[in-house]
Amino acid sequence: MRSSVEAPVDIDVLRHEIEKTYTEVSTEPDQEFIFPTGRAWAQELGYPEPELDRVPHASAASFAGVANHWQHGRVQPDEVVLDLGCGAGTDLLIAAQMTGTSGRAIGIDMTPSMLERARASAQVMGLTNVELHESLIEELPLATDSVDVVISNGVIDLVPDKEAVLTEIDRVLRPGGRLQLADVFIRHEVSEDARKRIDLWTG
Amino acid sequence: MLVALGYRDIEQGEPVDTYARSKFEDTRRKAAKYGAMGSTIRATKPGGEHAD
Repeated sequence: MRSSVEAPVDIDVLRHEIEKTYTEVSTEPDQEFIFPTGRAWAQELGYPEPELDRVPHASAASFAGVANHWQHGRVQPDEVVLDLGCGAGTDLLIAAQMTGTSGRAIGIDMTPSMLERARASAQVMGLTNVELHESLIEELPLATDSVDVVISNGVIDLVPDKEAVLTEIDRVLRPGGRLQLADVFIRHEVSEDARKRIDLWTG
Repeated sequence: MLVALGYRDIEQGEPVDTYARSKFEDTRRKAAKYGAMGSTIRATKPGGEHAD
């Protein structure tokens, strides 16, 4: 997808670095990353129980969220939930438990190894209402007005063209649907030189 | 942008000092320099069952 904004970094290089970092999070979750990870971090944030407890270690160990969007409410039974940048699936699998077999939890991620973890964990949990797509979140492979709830944790900050992401969220959300997102925000001005540093984007 | 699109019931969560938990001093220092924090937002798309 061609971005509608002038990004301060090479988009392909940025995507490659993000994929590299999050592949390591999924395949070597016990190593130390510059951001907090794992089940203990999700518990510290106050993630919902007992749903978190049921998420297999293979997924929860790769949790790399930045805050707890679940504080804004649970997913209701029957709802269709979309998790943008679902990673190894912690939020996705929590949502799938909440919406139940009559609902659906759709995960989108650009990192194949993360999707594989999410798929394997859904199978271990016996969840049949989980759907996964390898895709960029600026270009969702979903129909217009097809989703009740959009969730995401620590992903949109990685994308230079945030307007494209929000436009896609607005397209796929049904009228009256809701978004609940967790992400990083910056309180101080970031210089033009700093915006060009890939390490500040991927961190 | 959410306001411009007519989203309602917009709520923002309390900030979380996510990067203060980083094991790397350089990351903690950079996060403090730029004021990088985790936070949350909830909003409802206009339309549906509710009157807007």
